[in-house]
Amino acid sequence: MSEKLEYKKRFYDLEKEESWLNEMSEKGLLLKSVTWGFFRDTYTFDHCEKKYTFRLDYTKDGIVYEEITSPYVMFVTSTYKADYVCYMNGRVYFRKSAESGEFPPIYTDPESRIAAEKKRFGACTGLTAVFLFDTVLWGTELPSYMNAEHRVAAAIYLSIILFICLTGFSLCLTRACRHYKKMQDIKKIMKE
Amino acid sequence: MPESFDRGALTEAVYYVLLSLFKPNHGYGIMQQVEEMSAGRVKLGAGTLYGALNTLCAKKWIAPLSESAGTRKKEYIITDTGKQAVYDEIARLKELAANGDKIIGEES
Repeated sequence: MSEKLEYKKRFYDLEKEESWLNEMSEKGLLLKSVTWGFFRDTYTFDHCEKKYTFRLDYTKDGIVYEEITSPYVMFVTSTYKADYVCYMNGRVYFRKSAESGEFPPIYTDPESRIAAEKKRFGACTGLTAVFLFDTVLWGTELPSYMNAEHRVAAAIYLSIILFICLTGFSLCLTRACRHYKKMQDIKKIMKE
Repeated sequence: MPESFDRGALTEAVYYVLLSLFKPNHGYGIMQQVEEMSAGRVKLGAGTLYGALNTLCAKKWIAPLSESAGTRKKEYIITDTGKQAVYDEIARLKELAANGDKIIGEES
């Protein structure tokens, strides 16, 4: 029986993505790489009998040239004797073979889990503000462009810019909302 | 984690990390020691531990040791400020436990 080795999915929740990858490992499919897609991401697997535990987290050190050299990744691989798999879309993927020992969840207390979401929320809110500012800036430029020569070219040019700004704004806004909701969900669980 | 600092209480993770840094220690050692001390009850995940180490360094409750030049196994040690925080926390916990024992004692 030939099993599908490429899956197209989209996850917005670290824990859900993590459990899916661990379930796949239980079934004998080991994640090899993930690549970003506009609507859905592509998960590529290899057949593997050995069971692995996957742990996912947000990248921590900003933009680094190669994620594998970031201090956080080096910390995790050396402290937990885990392997770095890859990173995609602000998330870093780790794995550890089940036989080499336990790989605890990345966040073992709710306070630190909330702190991680809060950081992401802050970053997304910041970007949302930047896109909003740009949209307003270019939007108010519109009248002066319309009175200039080459009206049609200006209209096209400005439309493209406004489209990019509005797209960026809405994508960042939805991301920020997701992180905010996750924070509230965890706080609610804490109260129970 | 900032919330718990403001309340005056430390999370178990932070408290145990501080305890395990009275002697120089690195990530793996801290993780092992905390699991031992708590008889397997308190486990430190990568994000929790990394966050705790960074926050404690920022608060100057622990300091990195520049000895381990490899930075792969960065070692830390508790500072005097950190020790004071531990003493205060133990005093707080003792107060809680003592009052609890007293009330339970009155019950029976």
